[in-house]
Amino acid sequence: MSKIIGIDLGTTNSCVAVLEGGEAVVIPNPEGGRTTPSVVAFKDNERMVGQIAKRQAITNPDRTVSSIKRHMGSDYKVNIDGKSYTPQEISAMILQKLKSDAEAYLGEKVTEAVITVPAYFTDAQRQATKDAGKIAGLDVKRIINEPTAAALAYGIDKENDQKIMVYDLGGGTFDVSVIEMGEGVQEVLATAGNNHLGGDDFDERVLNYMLSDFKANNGIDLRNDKMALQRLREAAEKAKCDLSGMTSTQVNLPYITADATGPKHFEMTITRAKFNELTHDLVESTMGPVRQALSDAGLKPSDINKVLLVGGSTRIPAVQEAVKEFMGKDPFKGINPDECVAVGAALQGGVLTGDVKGLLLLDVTPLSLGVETLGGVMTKIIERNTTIPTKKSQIFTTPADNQTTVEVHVLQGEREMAADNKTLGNFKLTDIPAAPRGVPQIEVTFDIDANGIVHVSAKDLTSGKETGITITSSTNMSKDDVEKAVKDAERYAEEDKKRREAIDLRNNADQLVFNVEKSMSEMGDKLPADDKAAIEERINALKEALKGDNLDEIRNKMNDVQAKFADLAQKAQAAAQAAGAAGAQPGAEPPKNDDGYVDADYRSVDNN
Amino acid sequence: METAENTETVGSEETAQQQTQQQEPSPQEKELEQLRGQVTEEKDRYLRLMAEFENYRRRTTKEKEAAYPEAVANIVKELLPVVDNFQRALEAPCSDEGYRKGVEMTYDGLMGVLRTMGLEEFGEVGETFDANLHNAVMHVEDENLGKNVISQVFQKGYRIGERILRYAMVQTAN
Repeated sequence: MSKIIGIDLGTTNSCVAVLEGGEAVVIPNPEGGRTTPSVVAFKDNERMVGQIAKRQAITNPDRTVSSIKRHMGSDYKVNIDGKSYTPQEISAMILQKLKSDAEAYLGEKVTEAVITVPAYFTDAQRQATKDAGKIAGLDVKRIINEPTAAALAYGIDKENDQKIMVYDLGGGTFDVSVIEMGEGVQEVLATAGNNHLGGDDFDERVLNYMLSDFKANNGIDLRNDKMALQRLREAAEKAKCDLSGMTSTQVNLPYITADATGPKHFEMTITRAKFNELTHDLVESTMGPVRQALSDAGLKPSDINKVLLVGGSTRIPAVQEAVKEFMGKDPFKGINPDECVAVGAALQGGVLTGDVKGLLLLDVTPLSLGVETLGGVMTKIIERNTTIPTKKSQIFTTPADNQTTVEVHVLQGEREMAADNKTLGNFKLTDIPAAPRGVPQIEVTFDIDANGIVHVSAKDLTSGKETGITITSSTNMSKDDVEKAVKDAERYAEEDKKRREAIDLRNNADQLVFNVEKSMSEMGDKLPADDKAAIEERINALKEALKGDNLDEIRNKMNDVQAKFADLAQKAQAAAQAAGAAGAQPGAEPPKNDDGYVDADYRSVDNN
Repeated sequence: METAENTETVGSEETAQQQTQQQEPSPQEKELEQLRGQVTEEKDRYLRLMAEFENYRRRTTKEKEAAYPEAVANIVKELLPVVDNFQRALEAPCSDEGYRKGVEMTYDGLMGVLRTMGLEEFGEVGETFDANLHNAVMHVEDENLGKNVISQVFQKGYRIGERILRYAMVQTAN
């Protein structure tokens, strides 16, 4: 079953998105653009759509069509090379490109779509849009209003009945809509706008300012210099965008022109305050349609529950402030304003496919899950916020020789020490074949199903013996409890870390003593008596240090042992090589995480 | 005659079947049907999800591989205005030959690095206009020039391999 794509078929630019794994993804075109210009051109029996059509528009004005949306639903015809096209047919060409871009990106066929239209579109205009889809080979499952799509993108449709204003200041048009939304309710109460007001007008103000400034300082009118004008226009647009994020920006255009006295450069600092001053009247002019729409709907600003911002120009701080001040509340602006309409359409497509309902219900484990290991620490096996269902295993071993039982203490929480976390359950794995410490392989598996039920099992890989428990309450923590647990972990992080380090150090020291003593007994007679005494002395010093709490002492004594041991190992190897026999290769380092083998041991039952 | 008999037999079988069908399916049969339906539905959702995952994985791998070249292209693209300005600097009259030479050497150094990254320029006066490479911002009619050719280059075009970093900004004729 194919995916339903969501298409924002705009006057100047179009955008297409699709739901993937419950999240809306904007589909870039092959040139990497996340929006595609709504421009179609014909040349030498070739048809071009999008950016490429825009690039050649000036060379081919009679055969390039833009803003066809303004004619949808009318009898207008485009006549090119003796052929006549309806607006639907032209729009279909744009839709066809969006369709194939989507197919290329997704790697599968696309046959169904949701397409958005302005709230004020008549039946004829909506039908024309649906027909355009059909001509393009798309089964248009739904035509939805652009402000409604925006509301969907912001997740508003699911709440109680409310009145929403959508303020859409985009490429070249400004639209205000007041809509009533709720469960099954979607009514457009009023619309207003300005068909020829957009980001370009803001750019123009900055450009004019730059031109007059340069003229004043240098006596040269750059308007006559096409190249200079082009550079300045680009710089003006960039400055506008920069000032949405910074309070001032530098415009540097060296060698902008030249006169008898030499080359001239353009340099200017533009502040946000200046930009606001230059564009103040443009922003003010948008309030007219806002007032109009409210009045037509019979509402006051305070009657509006939410205000949504759509369209690239709503990134301008002055626009956001003006809307906030007039409406008396903060507008919603989290989602990319150029893309939120397409995103909303994709969400609608997802709802129709059944995607949204199914996949958005994925749960997560609120807190980490793990087991208690040697020294009373918690070893995490599943990290918090892991999506469930999930399954993870880890292999452990025994800390004592001939240990035949391990106790599995199942914990939930973020603290380093087992005692500081919550116990979910306990069980024992028995009848482990007797073996030296560190030899048995106990596989502990955490398996959480979609309902949050945790199955913990422990299996001795040698004997195959396995047992486990089922815990049903692992996700039954209140949000407050979870937050508290996480905050506590952060608060005690330093302390916990130190305690953990101390324990790890002790464990490593123990392991070192064990390994060295083992190697010594293996070497037996090959170890010269005075060397044996020397290393025994150091081992004893380490054992003494381990009785106390001085970590640095322990570390130093460990280094002493390791150093001497390395010495002896080298000697033994040299002697063995001289004797022509293979020498013992005792490991001087405690094993550390080789092959994912964790050097964390269980406390044996006896040590309880 | 045989046919007639057969028809009769079939007739009575049908009637017998109809009779059994008119009896309600047992609760177990109903539940079985429902479960069968559920299984099919779940299986379908699972398969769809697996397929989606496969596609996503395939695409993400491609994106990962493309990440480095894309990063390089983005940085080089940001440097193009600097390249333009260097070229303008060298075109401007300069009486201090030593200073000019220094600027030229710096520019050559910059271009050396960028060419190592694969940078190539394109867009010459006289070439036929190609919307795949050029962005026409002005148009003139000029008898002395061919049909649909570039009459002026405002900004050179640059690319790395197949990827166009900047389309050549041109004026076309005819």
